[in-house]
Amino acid sequence: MNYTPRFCIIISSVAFLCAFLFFAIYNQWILFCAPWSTQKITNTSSVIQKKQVTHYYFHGDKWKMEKQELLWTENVEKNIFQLINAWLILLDEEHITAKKIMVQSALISTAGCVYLSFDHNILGKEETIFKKWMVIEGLLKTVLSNNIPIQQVQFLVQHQQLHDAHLDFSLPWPVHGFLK
Amino acid sequence: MQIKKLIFCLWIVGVTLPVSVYDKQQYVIVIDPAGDAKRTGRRIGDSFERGLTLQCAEKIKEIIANSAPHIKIVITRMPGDNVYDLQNASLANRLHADLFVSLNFYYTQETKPTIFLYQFSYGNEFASCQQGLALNSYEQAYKINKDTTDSMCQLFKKELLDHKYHSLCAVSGSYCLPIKSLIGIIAPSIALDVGLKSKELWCVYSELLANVLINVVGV
Repeated sequence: MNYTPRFCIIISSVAFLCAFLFFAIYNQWILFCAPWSTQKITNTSSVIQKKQVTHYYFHGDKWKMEKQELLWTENVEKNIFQLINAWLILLDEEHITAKKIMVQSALISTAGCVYLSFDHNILGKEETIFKKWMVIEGLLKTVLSNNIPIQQVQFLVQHQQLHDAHLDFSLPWPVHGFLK
Repeated sequence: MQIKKLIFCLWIVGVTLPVSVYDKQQYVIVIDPAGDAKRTGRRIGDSFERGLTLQCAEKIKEIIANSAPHIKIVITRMPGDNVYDLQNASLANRLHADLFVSLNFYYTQETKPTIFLYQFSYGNEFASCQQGLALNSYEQAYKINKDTTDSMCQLFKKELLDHKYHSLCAVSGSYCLPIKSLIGIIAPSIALDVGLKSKELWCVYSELLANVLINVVGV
């Protein structure tokens, strides 16, 4: 076969172009979006920074506080979700809750009410009304002290209303709680 | 003539005597023992809260019936009864009760158990309740007699802190909270969460609470 300089230049140019296209697609410089595809491209980038949060809990007849660093975003719901889960882990470590409880979802209404759904009831059945109240107050105090812009908290378990023998959760609790 | 005067005197005595006998105002206190047929409540020793609160309420009724007949005690449930949501509130409101007491027991190992006092609130005290004929949502019914509830709670605490019972228990409260058993009640209402070291101690508390109720209502 006769490799003329012209032929070599064409082959090299085509190879370079193919490599460049592959590199561009690989690094998402070029995006393909088929007209029949329903997948939407969303901007997932947001400002993420470290923030020192304060957790409050009632233990041994007094309030205790603990500081922790969490990743903080512009998404308030995500922040509440992370904050409450970190607080629940702390409560589990301190043996305040009988078992490990997690938040399933945290959603905010336009009226500034956050709907917190837990996977289990955070209030122990054998506890006094006072101790159960203090668990709730600890959560509210933690939310309030970390400057989360909400007014009320509606407590849910598995996306249903939280039922307790003594305390009523049919309506949302004010974020300031009931401590005078 | 003498006979006529005698008959007149007897008639006067006959008319005024029943008035003087029933001069004392009748009071109605509704006691709501925690738990029901479906809900056992908290475990206290080898018993459950529902049984002990019911026994205590019945004993209070017995003591008050003997020592203060002008006070009528109504217990919200009998053994084996189921209590539905707002059933007790409906009962207390229909009876026009003078006081509603929710009785709860919990197990404690403290040498001096604490009695916690609670009254109902959803934290919206600043919004006043309209007087007279008005539509109020059930969670705001407590506002109608809030001032009376406040003063009764103070009296209740004062009586419990009396030196006679000082060694028996400590008192904490009253705290304003959305207490489930007090929701929808118009009458002054108080919830008590009483610590028991052993299940037999409900007897002591029944005497204490009966005396306190007589003094609180009698004021």
